[in-house]
Amino acid sequence: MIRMPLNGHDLAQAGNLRVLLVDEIAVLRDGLRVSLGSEAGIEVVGAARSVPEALRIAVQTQPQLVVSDLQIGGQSLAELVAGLGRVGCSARVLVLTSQAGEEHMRVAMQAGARAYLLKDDGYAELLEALRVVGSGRRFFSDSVESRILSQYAERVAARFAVAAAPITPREREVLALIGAGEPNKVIAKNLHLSVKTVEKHRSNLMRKLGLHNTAAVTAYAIRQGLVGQAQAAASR
Amino acid sequence: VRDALKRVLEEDELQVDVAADAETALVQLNRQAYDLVILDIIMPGMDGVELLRRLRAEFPGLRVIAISGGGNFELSGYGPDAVTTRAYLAAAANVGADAVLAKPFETAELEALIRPLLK
Repeated sequence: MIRMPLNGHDLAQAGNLRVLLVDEIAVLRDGLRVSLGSEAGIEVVGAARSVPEALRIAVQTQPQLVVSDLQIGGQSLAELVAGLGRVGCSARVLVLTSQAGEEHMRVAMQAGARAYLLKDDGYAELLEALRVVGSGRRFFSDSVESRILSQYAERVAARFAVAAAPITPREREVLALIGAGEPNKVIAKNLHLSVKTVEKHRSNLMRKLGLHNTAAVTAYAIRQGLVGQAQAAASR
Repeated sequence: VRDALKRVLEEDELQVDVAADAETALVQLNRQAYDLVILDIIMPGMDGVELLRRLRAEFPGLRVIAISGGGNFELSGYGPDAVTTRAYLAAAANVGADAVLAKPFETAELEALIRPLLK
């Protein structure tokens, strides 16, 4: 589990954590109300099936924590969070959902959620999430954390796969001439290519090599010993 | 799962009928007297807790065991310790289930719950 640094005061110090549950599914709502209601240090102040109902209960009960799904009665978590702000409720929001996609997690965190858990995560993790968020930190369950890390790793691997693509013989020739300080027009003429094609080779080279300007490409070509070859070829 | 459970319980010399959903179960219960119902929480149509409410209202003497492996009503999941499992079984107990059991379970665990309820 990831527990982010403290960014709020510890609510549990002031007594029971006051929790509002928001979910469309009655069985889950009712069951969580019973389960969490029997936990020490937690008081379930209400359970709502829609955003308007949640806001009504929030005004009446002033919960400190709201556990909500991402979609509630056709409305989004962002609408719930905005509504809570409108009615003067500063509750911290925890997401409890079956949506495991990275985009869902990003949207939830942007909306202001302090925690993200899946409904199939362990009940003990939900209890821990309530206490962690109550103490002012953020919380991601083990399964969410592992999804975030694996999705990040996939993106990084994809980026390296592109960068590690081998340089073609033609790109090598273009690289040597760039290193020799030749402009695109001269390179095009020397290699019997159009200027547009040379520009394309230059941009592919920069992408593959992870270089961001001509000076860096020139320096790379010199380091690789390509410049002398180009000059020798040009003199032949 | 229903049929496998039926075979196991019949080996214990219990007479067992199965129903695929809550509505079918209610029809069967109105046709014939039963001593015990084992119900799942996630079912097509009426869920197990709603069925349990109906059973408590219409068949007060009936014993009920609620089982659940969690998951949710759109996607299937399965975890004996999951938030959903805990919540569904707590909801069932709150509505009056005589016993609850998290899936997956050993046959012996279910049999141990059934025996005292049928005495």
